[in-house]
Amino acid sequence: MTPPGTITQSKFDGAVITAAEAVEDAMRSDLLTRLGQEAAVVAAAPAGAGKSHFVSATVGQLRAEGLRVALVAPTNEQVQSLVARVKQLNPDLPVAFVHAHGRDLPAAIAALPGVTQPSAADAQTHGDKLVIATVDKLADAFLRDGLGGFDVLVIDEAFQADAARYYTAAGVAPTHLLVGDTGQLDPFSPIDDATYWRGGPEDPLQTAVGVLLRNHPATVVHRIPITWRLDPRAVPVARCFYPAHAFGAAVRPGVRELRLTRPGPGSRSLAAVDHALDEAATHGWAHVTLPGAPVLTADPVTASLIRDLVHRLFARSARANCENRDSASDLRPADVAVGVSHNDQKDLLRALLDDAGLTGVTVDTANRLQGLTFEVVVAWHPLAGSPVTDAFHLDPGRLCVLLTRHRQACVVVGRDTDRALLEGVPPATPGFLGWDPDPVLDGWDAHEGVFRLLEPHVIQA
Amino acid sequence: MSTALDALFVGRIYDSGRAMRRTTLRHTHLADQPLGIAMWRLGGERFRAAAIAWGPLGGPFELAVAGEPRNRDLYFAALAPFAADLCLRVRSAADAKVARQRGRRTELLPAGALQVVVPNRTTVGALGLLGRYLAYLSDRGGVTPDPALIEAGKHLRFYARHARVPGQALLLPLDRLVAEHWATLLSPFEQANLAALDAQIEPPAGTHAFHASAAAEALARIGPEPTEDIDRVTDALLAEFNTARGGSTDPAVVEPLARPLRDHYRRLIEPVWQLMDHAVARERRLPAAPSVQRRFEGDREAFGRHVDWMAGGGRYRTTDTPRQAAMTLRRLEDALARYDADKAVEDAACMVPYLLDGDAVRGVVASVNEHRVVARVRSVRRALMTLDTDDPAVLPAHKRLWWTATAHDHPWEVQAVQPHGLGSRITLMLDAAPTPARLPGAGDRVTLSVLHTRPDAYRLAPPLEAPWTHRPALPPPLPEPIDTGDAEPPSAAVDGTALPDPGRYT
Repeated sequence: MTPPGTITQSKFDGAVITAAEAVEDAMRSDLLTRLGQEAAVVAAAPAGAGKSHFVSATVGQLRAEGLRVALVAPTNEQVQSLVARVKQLNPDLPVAFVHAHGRDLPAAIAALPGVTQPSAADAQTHGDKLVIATVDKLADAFLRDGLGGFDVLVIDEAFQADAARYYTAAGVAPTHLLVGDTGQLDPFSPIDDATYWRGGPEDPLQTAVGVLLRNHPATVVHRIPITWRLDPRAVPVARCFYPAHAFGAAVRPGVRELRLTRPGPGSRSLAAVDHALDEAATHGWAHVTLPGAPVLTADPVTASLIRDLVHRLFARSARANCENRDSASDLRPADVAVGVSHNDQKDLLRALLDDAGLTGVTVDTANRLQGLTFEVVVAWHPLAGSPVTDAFHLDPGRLCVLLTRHRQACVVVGRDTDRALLEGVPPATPGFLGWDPDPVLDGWDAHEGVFRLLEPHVIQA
Repeated sequence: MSTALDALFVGRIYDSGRAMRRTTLRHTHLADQPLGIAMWRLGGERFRAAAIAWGPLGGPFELAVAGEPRNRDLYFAALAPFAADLCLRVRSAADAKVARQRGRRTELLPAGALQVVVPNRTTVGALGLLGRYLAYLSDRGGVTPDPALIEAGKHLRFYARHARVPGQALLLPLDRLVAEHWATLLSPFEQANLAALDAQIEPPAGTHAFHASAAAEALARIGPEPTEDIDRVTDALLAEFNTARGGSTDPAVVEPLARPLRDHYRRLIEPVWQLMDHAVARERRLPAAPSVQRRFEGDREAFGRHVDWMAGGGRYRTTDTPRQAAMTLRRLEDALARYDADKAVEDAACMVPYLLDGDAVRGVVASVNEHRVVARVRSVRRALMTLDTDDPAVLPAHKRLWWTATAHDHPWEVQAVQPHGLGSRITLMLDAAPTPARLPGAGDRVTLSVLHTRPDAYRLAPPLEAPWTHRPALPPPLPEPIDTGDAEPPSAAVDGTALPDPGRYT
């Protein structure tokens, strides 16, 4: 994501950016008129809409007004990157990062001038004006040490924060700004009957935004109509996950470019891998399918194919160009991620990639990739080789996270029988009074849409 | 549960023809004489028990049959003995207290708690609904219902809600207990039939588990939901009963007339009762896992709190507040994580899925050495262990694993994994100062897994007053007073005789 105005505008779609700026301005002024009141402003954004940028810029603006601000997000990784982002946009702003035991900032971020890591009690005694913490830590600090009395509470990734966590954290400030991505994974719980409260106003697993809108239906919801991360080739697929939300890519077609050297001699055995990489470099997508087979979740064949794809990407000295650069530069391992659905898939791939000397490549499950950006992503399709569909693997949020993390290209790896799982009638799903969404049917629809859009890019391995 | 392990079990069971144990220990507390409850509903009447059987398991059961459960007078009269008996048993179970020391505080816990055993999870739900119905009874038409009914309703409601806690043993659905301890060929849906489960475990000589459970399922009805054939018989008997009593609810008239219905339900419940007794006796033969007592202590604590609350009037909200729901969710999640960890750490058979999924490793300790490493700033003592596994292990570096012997303590962190013979050699570093208790000896066979039994940081209760975000902007309209309309003449009771015959099934 790029702050607008720092580079030549010709690489950007001016109309999309103007529309987005208008929405962001409206959000800020809505927030400022609500200061001091028990009220909230909600911003719903598609993947890569520049949420963190908006949040960090808004925090800077609120601080400039002399307001005391608490900025939170659900996970430690998210808040750590928020600290870096806030400092990047507001280098002079002091930031107090309040963290749980053993969750210190990475050294590079901690060393930034003005960044402190006080205990919750110290942050309250000193009256730190900008506190960044996870939702859980802020709630704990509020109860234990009385850290509170803020003017504004800003929640990033508010569609991943559940109502139970929001309950305690909500007390720290009267006015709230909730920013989030509706397409990502909903809060979940491992317990058997997590739907016990579903539909009731007390449901602890509804999203923070959900509980707010249920109790205060008059709350303004803004929709950010832009994606900075995805380029125009990726937008049609991403739209499958945001049916009621119109948005466009900030970058013009052709600005992003992924270049690979030609496969050298003796690369016949890797023809399918090369073909997939070429397809992805040209069109932004490749859907590699292995022959259908009943397999374990951590299928070694799929894992090796993914390892080969990543390895080959670097072997063919991938170079990427984009709106932020004047010329193409080498792809680094940190620019590449592999997204999976299960921890055993993650462990297997981690070991395979480490053996191949690709330690810098990120491998993680969808829920931990939320909010992150990479140049190239290899996604292990959630339905790959599955004999049946179920709610977990159909979850549109999981597929959305996997397919919307990349700036350049995404290679989806599955099996050629996966699409047949969606033939016929979708499964019957339970209904809940007072609760409309149906993640299984939505997922069914989103998966089908994605398969259709990826059809021209299918490559058989 | 690991897919690979399930596949292995199914293959083995298919070959051998009978179910296999999933565990080597029993992970649930079983009282010497738990109170068994079995019930039947009328089709479509979710809040009414047409028949309810109860009694200490191992002995005969008592049976309450209302005749016409849709008639309030008959229904309450029939439930009264069950309600009175349940209240008495709950109170007497909580009578004897023992002291428990918690830091400087002494708490009084009930020495025991009334354990209730039911045939399946559907019955848990049915008892919860029955409790929900009875706990909030109002005195309709100026007739005060028997207070024992209301008290029993609150007990049942408490039991059904407590049954959500993973690893609890206050209200035991036997289908879950048996399915947790046994691998079978049955789908989750089929496992709800205790007879089918039992037939898989002990099929008649010469019969394969598959055929045995198919036959058992076709014959045995477990309840509480009637099947069509049962409903047909019930319907005929009910019609006869309603015609014969001519609208009377006088016990002297009704009692003898209800005999055919009572016999009908007795015939249905007898085999279920035997099955329950048999299943409990079989599970009891297994030695209890060490953590069973600790979990049951948690149950006793909850039971004690409930009984104390009841002594003070015992008013329970019908639904949770956002605060209660949030706290309950965290409590259930913690209990689930702890229960899974306890099982796998204490029972090698329960560790197998974790070994297969790469969340645990087992091997022989090749060496344990002490080193000094620089942790953040200071140089500290750390132990390094090398572990040789029989099978190749897939473990990413920095994965944290707990040795099962010190699962309540600090983890070991994976440093490196190298191929070694047919398996792997794993180097692990202890994440704390080495003490003799924390270190295995060279040559020991040990298991390390991602599971730990270390208590998480103490969670503070959320604020009592909900923040504005969790309160409706407009307060909901006040409900009508609960006795609205009580002065009006009672509406005609719904009674089988007053209803037109909907026609028989064809």
